[in-house]
Amino acid sequence: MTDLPESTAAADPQPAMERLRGGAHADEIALTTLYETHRAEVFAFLIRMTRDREAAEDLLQETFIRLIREARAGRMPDAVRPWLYRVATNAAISRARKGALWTRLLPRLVDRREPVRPEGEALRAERDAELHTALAELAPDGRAALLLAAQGLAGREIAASIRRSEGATRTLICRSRVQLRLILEAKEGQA
Amino acid sequence: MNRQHLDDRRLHDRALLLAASAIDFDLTSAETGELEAHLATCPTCARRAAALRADASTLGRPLTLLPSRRVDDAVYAAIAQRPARPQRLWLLAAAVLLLVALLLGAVGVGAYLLRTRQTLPISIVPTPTAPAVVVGETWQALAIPASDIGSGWIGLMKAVAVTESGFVAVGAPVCAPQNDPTTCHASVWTAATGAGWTRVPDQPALELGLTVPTSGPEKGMFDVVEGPAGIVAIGHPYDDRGTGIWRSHDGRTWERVDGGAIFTNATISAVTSGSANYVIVGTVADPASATAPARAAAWASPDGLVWTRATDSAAMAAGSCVDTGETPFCAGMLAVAAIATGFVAVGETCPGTFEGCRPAAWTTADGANWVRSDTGLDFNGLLTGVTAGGPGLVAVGTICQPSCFNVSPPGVAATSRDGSTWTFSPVAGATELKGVASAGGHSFALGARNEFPALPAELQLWRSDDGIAWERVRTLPSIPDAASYPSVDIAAAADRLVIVGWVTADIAHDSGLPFLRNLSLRSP
Repeated sequence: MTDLPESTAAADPQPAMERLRGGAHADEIALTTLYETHRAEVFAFLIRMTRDREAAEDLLQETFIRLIREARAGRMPDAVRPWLYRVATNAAISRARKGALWTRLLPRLVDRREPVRPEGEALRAERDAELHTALAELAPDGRAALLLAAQGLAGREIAASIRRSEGATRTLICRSRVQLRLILEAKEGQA
Repeated sequence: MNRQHLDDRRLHDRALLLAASAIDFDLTSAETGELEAHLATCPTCARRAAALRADASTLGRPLTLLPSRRVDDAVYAAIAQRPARPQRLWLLAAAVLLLVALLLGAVGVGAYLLRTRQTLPISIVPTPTAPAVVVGETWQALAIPASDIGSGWIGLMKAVAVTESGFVAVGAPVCAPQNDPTTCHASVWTAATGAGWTRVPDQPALELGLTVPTSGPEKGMFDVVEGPAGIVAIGHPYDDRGTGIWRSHDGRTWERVDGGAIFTNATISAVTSGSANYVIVGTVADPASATAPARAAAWASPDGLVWTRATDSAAMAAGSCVDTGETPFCAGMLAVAAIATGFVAVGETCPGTFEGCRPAAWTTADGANWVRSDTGLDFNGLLTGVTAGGPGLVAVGTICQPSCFNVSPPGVAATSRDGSTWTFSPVAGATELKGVASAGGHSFALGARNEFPALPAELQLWRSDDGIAWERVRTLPSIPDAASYPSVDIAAAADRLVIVGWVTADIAHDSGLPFLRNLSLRSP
């Protein structure tokens, strides 16, 4: 834990809670608190899922907008953190599936040379950046399962997030861990 | 590769899987022994097992990144922008619930009204025990034991019906423990007089499955009616898009009905009962397509156990579903009422967007073959409730100008003699008319004025003799800090109106909140 990447976000000169002036409602305060409590970890999860800062930001925004909408509709999740991961996971997997088509078309449409991005630098700054490169080679649901497990979610919560039974989720996690290790070993062999 | 080599490889692969499994799950003692024994004799496997643990540790390392200011600004803006009206998906759920209320009104109250009006002209008069009573003046807000409410949005009352022994109410799932995805149960309450509600104990038939994301049809029970073969409740369990149908003879012991494949891809909205059969209405659409054609749908049953889907004719076209980014919103039938000549359903059709949705109505003599009958319903909006009353039928809903996301969209009422042609009129001062029921020659409707940020929100009771001219009877008891009334339902027995529902006071604590108002009715 000695080589954590630093935040790439600009320091916020005006904490959100201070923005809530005297007329703020209880739900505004509660929703703001929830956002500021969970945004970093959910964003990190989405960065690892997508390896694309812009996409991760879009998905993060979508996730919290949905939370606000659910809360305002009287359906505040009982357990907010698993709910956030569940929604973020589904959004990321859905995006990945849609993105599969674009991945095939992109070489014909754009210059694939990508600029160096802060999140890429942050990931590369990690001691095991190659792990995340290998992680990207897993199927989206397997990748999500490993990342959710890494966030400490329980098996049932992960199962609910990826819409599988607990037994199938356990199998998926185990096989994904093994697959990830074999990918890494293959890369080590190539090096 | 010989057999021995294959066997060895299987052993190594199995050990690797066991090592991976041990990171997240408890192995049995036999598995643990097997793994340890293998690793002791296979240094390569031992290194791999250690590498697996290191991989997991690396994945769990915090990655300190924050989103850019644009995301913060967008989320903060969404938080600060308090909705003037429920989100559309909530609208769908609320409409379903309101339909339930309407059904209850149509069945329990409307039927009573029809019976009563034929022989006993009824007027509202003071009673000896409440000499100054005016309708709606002495409503009581009743407390429900916290243990019967649950927490958050769970365990909330959604619909109420009159039964032979009093009233039965149904509602949202009750789950425990609340912070763990677990099996939930549909919530059911009974009350002899509308007061003193008792929640029916959890039982296998009421299980709804494991909690899953909240998108999609409303979960739990959201409509109930008493008919010729007992009490029938409908809803949606958590598993996929399954349809929930339950039957009970006393409101306390329930059996789960297997609706079968005829409910595939159905989102049901309301149930009612005639003298000989039950009818469920809703919509059917392909869930895999965000813009699939929406089909109004109805199902009929003589006993609440065996159901038959109505003919999916051209009359059942309800436009196209609306892509919401999650479960599509699909228009269709939202409420149904029984009349002497059959059944009448109301709802809406949408052109693939929320703008331009139009009210719709259907009629049937037998529950199997429906005819579209929108003549006269010439406005943008939707009808969410219908009851036997006024000249024959009274429906209520909302006018959308052009969409239903406006602040306090006006309420609307429509009447018809038999469901074939309609007359409609905005109800001045009313917003979002929801439940409707009839008793004593009057029709009653509920309106919720949810005008953020003004607090408290108001729950209003409206009364009409003809279904067109409406009078606001009395504001129901004020609930301090009420932010909105997402779900309310009304049922009318011979001598009283009962309203159930719930109010959002803040985002963390919604309160189940039944109201009871004695309504004195007497024949001259």
